[in-house]
Amino acid sequence: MTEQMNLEQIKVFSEKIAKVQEELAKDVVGQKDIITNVIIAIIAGGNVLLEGVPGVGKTRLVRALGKTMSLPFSRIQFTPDLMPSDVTGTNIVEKDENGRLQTKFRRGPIFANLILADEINRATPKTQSAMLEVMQEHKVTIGNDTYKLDEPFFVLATQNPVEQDGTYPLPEAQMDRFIFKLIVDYPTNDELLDIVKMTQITMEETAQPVIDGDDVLTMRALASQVPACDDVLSYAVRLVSNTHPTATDSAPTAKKYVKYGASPRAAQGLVTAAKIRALMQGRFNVSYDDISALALPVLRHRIKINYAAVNDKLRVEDVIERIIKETKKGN
Amino acid sequence: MTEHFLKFKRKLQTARILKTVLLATALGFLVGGIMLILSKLGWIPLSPVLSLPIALGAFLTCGIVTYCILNTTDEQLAKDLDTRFGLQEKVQTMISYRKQVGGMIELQRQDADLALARIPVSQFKLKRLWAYILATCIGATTLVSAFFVKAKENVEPVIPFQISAIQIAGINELIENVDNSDLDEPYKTNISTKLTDLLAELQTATTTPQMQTALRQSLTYIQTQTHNSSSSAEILTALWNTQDPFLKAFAKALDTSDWTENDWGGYVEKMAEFERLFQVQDDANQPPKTDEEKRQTLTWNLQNSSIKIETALSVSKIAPTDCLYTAVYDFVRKDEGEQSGEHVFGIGVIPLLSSVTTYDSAIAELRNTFDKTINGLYERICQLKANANVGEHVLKKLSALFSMEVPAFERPTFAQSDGTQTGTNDNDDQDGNTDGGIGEGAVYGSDDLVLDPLTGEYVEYGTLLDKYYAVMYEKLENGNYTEEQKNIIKNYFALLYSGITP
Repeated sequence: MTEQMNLEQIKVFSEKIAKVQEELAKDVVGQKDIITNVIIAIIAGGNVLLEGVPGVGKTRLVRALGKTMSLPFSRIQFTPDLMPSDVTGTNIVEKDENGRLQTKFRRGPIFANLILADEINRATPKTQSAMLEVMQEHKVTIGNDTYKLDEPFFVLATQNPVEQDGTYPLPEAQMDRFIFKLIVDYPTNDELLDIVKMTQITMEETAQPVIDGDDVLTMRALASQVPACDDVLSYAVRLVSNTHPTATDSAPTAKKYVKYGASPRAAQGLVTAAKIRALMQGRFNVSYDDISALALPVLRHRIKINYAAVNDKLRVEDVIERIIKETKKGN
Repeated sequence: MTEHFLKFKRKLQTARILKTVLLATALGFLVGGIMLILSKLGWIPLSPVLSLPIALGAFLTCGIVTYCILNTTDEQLAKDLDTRFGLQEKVQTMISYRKQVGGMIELQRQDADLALARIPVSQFKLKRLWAYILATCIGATTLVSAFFVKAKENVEPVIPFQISAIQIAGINELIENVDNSDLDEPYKTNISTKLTDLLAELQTATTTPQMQTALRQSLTYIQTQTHNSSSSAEILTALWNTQDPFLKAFAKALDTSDWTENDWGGYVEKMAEFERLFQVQDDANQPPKTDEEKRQTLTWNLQNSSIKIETALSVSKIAPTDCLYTAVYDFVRKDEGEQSGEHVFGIGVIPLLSSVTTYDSAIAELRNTFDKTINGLYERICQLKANANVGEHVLKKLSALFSMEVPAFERPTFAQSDGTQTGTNDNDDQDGNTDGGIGEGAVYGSDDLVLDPLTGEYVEYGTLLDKYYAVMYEKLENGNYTEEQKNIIKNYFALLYSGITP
């Protein structure tokens, strides 16, 4: 009975994922890997940092995603003068029916299921830090009161790698809250042609809702049941620990080029995401390929390369690729 | 665990048994072959037949060890299947979760089983099976070759040797004895030098065969140097074998085999008896002989004996330069010219003298000849005896120190047949021991344990004997003993050592 139920659930899982991808494809041209990884992150309950130059479709992707899911959606445009209370909400003083003054919490835009934190690096560190508790614990504390956010909850943040003047790089603690950091690249010529054709008709997103919050939670629960053997889990752990330059058994590349490595959250996120990727590919177990395929988006924002890497003209992606090659599979 | 996984496991188990048998057979053949070759060539002290149980032992040991080493767990097999057929860790996951239940796990199990079902078992090749087959072929080749190796016969094991302090002291004592002996030169220097060389050689010898070779060469050399004892036996045997009463009497007189330091064995009396044989006695049944007849008979006897002695000398095939040979020859043939004016002749030339015209004068000449010549003969015989004694002493002492048999000291053959001459039972002690022999008591090997009365502990007999010898040697050196007493005690210890196998 359980087996049949699971098989049915998986069938529904696959159909709904396909529908989401189909709806997103109406508004976002190309970027298939980005879309797939965003879907994985959402099912995993993780936050995603999208980085790309202006105009490559980051915000449109998130807006389209919000439409495909029948979930309350908030967009917060981060600016230097944005205050934490502008995000989380604040207590206000008002009169009740009897004319007595009382404080009342007015919810900020963060109280939604899907948050688009646009250009998050433009807010001050004070405002950015207001996102820490929200992103990790899915709750907001104002004074002595704590308000729990509705599930599912996830933050899709965007940032611009250029135009760094007047920006505040995200602190490592906040970066660690993002399960993925995805680089949104320029579209190809064919893709650009499609984009131009599509936007001549309408600028509005045309995606239709196909899943809701319960579907996401069901998918998350289903994915968590995907088994991963010890060898594969060890590989994921070893991959993360190999990024630590001070560890005795870390990868030679890490010792040479990494300033500091990834946190345990990286290993957790890697395995969780790998389970969803396996299920999306029709498998019922996690493979080495799942781990290594997701290592780049999971690790790239958690690793800080040193000057030796810069001097050797290596990007963080190059260093991660080398560490993946240097990490032994199996026990 | 699914049926399709089990089919791979069964194949792996078959491969495990096959590889175990092949490798164990290879090693059994190889070890058996090598042992057979080594034993046949005599490089190891082992009967070729024993190669069989050794090979069997190698087969069983290798079989057990290989079977254990080749044991493959389900996890290892799953990993192998995933790696070989690119199953994306499906089988490993299935095995990891084989004891758990759940809808997702069951689906995963079915997925893995489906993947395995698509793979024919025949595609699951046995790794490095060729290496095991090759090893078996090499082992079999070695064994077959071993049967064609020709066996080396009568190979004796090499026994290590190291000269002991007592043996060194014994040889040094021998050298001193030789230097202080009455041995003729250059024999004394030669033997002393030979003993010094022998000591140096034995100190560098590491095996018993090396020791025995060096010792055998030295024994032969020393015997050659003191060979006069041997030539004496041959000359006297030659004289005895003539069966002539005159020559037999002469041989008895010259026989020194029963001489001791203080007893010449009645040399003078025997020579006098030999002389009396020439005197012609009247026969009671016949009329008295005339003086001329007596002189002629004496002359004939002298000539006849002279000729027979010369013939016996030549028959003995001893070199004319031999000491006893020349002495006897002089006794027979020395003439006046050789004696520098003294009126002394050999017995062979007495009848030729013109002055010997009467029986009495012939008797007088005979007496005179004997008086003058037997002393010279005696001196030479004494020197021969001294040489023989030193040689015999050295040989016996070396033999006792190293437990090697000495070459037989030759005696005139008549000495053994004549009870009055041999006196072989004179030296027997109360236990029935003879010189150099072992009595009726308990016989100990050098490594047998015996009670040390000084400490009350059981020690090896050889060790105890060494200890007692050292004590004895120190006491003799520091104590007030006559040379005779020292010799008796040392000879006693030499007898004890002669019974020990090193």
